Amino acid sequence: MNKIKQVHFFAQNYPQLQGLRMLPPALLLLLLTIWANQQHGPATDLSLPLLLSAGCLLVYIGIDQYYNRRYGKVKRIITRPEWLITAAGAVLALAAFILDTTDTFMISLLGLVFAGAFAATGFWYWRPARLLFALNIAIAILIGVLSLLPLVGIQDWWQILGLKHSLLAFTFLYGVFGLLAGVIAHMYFIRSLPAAEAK
Amino acid sequence: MSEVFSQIANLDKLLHEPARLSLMTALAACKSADFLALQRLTGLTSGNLSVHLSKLEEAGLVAVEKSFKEKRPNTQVSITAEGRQVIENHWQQLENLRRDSQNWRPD
Repeated sequence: MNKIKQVHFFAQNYPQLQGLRMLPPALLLLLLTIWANQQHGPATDLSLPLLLSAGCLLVYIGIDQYYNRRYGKVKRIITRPEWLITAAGAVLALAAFILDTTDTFMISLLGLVFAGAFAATGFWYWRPARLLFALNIAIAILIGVLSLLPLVGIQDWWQILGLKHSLLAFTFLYGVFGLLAGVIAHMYFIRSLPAAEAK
Repeated sequence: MSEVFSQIANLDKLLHEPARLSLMTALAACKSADFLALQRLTGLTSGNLSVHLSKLEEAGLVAVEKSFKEKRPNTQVSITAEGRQVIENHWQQLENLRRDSQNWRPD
């Protein structure tokens, strides 16, 4: 029965389990954060971010080809609640980003949205896979706690990372944890697929 | 107890074979999957997978679409509406069987 449940889980989440797909967007976010952190005033030359975006797109295409040729392709059933939650998350992230740039709140709203994104991913997709579930929840708690640190008087902790603003700290962390979660999901994927029958 | 035996006897033999049950479970969980993905998901060899898919296709439980993608043969498999109904009924039967066997008490 467990084998059947595993087949169901894998078929349902096949593209998400192919964790290397997360690497190019996470890496792009990380590189753009580092680039933005080095800017003094409004950026005038956007050639480097454009070049990085193009590079990450190419890497993504390569990863997509690798998975399709080596593991095949599964078209997922995307439910209406999943679309709605994703769209709501994007709107919330944009609103949090705008509010965080105004420095109105002590806490980081973008950090809380990112924490929510990791928690939602954990609960929505990974509950049957303990390792991935635990990883997502641990990342969510860590980012959530860091977002709320100013409330207990710990301010500007991001300067330890050499970053200028809380916004950059959370995009940096989202990139780092995205890379980590992607690599672990990929390892879980390749190790958990059933072994091929003996011919 | 005889009711349990009749429940077991009523199980769909085509579906109850482990490889076909795995295939139908995988296909019920997604829109469609290609041949390679089904091989990876079930661990079946290509020969066995072809045989099981043919049986399921003959029974009208799955739809198989063969084409060429980037000059390579590509086989897409999806569950039919009838197939979805049949696998859901099968799971329900298995669940009932499990529940009945747990609830059974000696007279």
